Amino acid sequence: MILYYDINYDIILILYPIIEIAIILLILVMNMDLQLASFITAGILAIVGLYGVFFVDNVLKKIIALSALGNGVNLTLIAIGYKAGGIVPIKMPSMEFTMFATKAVYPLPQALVLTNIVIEASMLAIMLALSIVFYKKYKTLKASIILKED
Amino acid sequence: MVKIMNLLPLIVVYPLIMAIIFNYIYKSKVIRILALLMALSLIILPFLGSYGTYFFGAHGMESGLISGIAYIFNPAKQIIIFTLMLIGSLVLITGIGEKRVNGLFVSLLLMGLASVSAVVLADDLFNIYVFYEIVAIVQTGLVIASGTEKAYKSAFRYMIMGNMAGSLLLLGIAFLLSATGTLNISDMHNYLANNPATPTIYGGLLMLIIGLCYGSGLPPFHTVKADIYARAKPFVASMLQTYSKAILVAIMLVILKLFGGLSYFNTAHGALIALSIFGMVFGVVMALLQSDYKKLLSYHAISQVGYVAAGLAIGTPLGIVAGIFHAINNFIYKSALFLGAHIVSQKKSSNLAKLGGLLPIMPTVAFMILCAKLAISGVPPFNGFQSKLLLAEAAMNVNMPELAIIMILVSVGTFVSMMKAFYLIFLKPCSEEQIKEYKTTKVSKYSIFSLAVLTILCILLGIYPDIVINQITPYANEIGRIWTL
Amino acid sequence: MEYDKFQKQMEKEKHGDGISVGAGLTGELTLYSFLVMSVLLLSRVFSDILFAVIGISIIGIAISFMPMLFKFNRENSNHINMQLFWVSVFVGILSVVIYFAK
Repeated sequence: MILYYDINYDIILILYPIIEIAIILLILVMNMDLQLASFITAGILAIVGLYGVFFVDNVLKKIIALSALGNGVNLTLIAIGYKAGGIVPIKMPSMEFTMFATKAVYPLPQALVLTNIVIEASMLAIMLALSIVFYKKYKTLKASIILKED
Repeated sequence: MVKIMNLLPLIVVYPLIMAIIFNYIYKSKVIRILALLMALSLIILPFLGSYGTYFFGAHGMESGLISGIAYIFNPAKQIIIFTLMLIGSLVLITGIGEKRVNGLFVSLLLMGLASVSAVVLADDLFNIYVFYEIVAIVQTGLVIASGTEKAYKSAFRYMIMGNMAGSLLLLGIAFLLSATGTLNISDMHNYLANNPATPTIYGGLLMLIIGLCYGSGLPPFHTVKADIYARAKPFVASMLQTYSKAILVAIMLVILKLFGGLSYFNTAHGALIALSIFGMVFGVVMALLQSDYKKLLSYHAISQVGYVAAGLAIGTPLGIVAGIFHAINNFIYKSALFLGAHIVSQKKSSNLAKLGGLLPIMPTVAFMILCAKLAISGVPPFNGFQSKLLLAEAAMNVNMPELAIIMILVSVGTFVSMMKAFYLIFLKPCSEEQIKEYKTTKVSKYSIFSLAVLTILCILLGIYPDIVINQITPYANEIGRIWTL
Repeated sequence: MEYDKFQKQMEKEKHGDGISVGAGLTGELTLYSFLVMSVLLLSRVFSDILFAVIGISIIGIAISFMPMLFKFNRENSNHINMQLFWVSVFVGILSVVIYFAK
């Protein structure tokens, strides 16, 4: 089971920015649908995050990967609530109800994203603090040394 | 339409506010008094609200769809929350007896109680997600509070897994939201029942199951969960395992409510039963190998999670009754065992090889621990027997005798390891010096009081199981579906 | 599986005294009977002759590997790589079961 951790998988992470640049080019040059583009980006972010958590043998990189995974999920949520030419979902007294109902974006995903950002910030803060403690003791950030069997 | 002010939200709001207040108190004496008052007031909370469905957010029902936060309160949830609060207050009382009482510990514990009861009460996935994450943070905090290096490490492992599983759970909720357009569980069930399945819904189901596994400690997350139980202080661990089991019951009921009776749920149903069997067997086999009392108990907590999950995953009304009843029994006797471990480790340590000959020093405590041990292994006059019997009956009723046989085998394993621990702690002969050492160390009266209350409850529920079963049955009939293999 | 070998192995893992060896044996038998029962259950659920044959051969192979307990213990350790490996395996199997089952 340990064997497959011996190879250095970090190199594959370089692919991520290349794909991102490609998507940005697609949006700018080919007029790609924004929602689709953000779904693809979110998927790549989530996969990179999961990949980093599972395979990269460094505590700090694991934390970065976790934040990438969280951001991917957030982007998925935002893309679900996206509406081309939408307005802020606050109903003013002057607005007509039908206009408001057809134009306003869906607010629920945004509320979820806000909550998730807060929760994730606190979780990552605790994890970073703990990794400082570990680094002081072990003088290394390798997860397989710090978190080995005890 | 104005309703009379109902006090149900106090179950969530009151401990949360008190948690913030406790955060700013430093004087030990003040904390002791306030914590005692808290412990007394927590028990009253579940009886303040009346049964029914609640909507918060001033919108209520709009054109058949529910908007805003929805809570459902019924006798089954009331009794789960009551047990939760009872164990919370007993742990608080035990905590008062400690040398240094920390305001942060009390505040984390109260935060956990509030969030777990919110998860149990809530009828929408938004609330469940938020409070689920808060429980994960609270559990980490409680482990870190024990202050050893091993505790830090296990907390770090727990957070890596927790962050990942939490993100995946949110992704699942996002999938379900995009497929159905709502987060309210009743509305979502109506939508799912009337529309064909799409891959997004499968994805949502998968992620919900992963979140469930992490929250409750079913495999593959059992090693992480057992670690944090073993590394926390034992009386804190009794609270941690109570949180996990309550979350298991809540989320499992949500999954059954959302997908129960749909044709594509069958395979996931099978997967849930398989996960619960894995939980039972892995937990008990690992427990049989441990030489540390805390670790032994924490692997048993995993094994008992498997029992509860098996009962709920069967999904018939009898199975759900058995599952919830076993969860409630489990809160009680597992907490008693962890409190017993707290007393034992106060005497010397939790390493079984170093202990021995404690029976003549504290016979009453030994008797109470023995009661809890018999209850967990399913011996007749205690509550564990009643619920395990119901579980086996539920497994037989769906034509799965193999499941019942595995349950009984795991029970045997539980009995063996519990008796091993009892022999090594209380009966093994030991030297004169050790007995002198035992006599000099003192055990706080508070923890013995908590243990006694839990033991009495064990015997009471073993003799009159109907007190709980009658409360659960209507809710189980509402959710459960009858099927046979 | 011989009792003496099992006991020596247990002593190596610092569970040498009689009652711990007994507990270890119980664990081993629990693991094995869990395997037998789950194969029975699966072959009954899918009612496939091929499946039953494979299952019986798995039971036979498991008996020759008999002290499975120590391997099991090693796989369930709290080394982070081991935990993440099993999480990925379980999640993969779960997704296959939920997406691709009939």
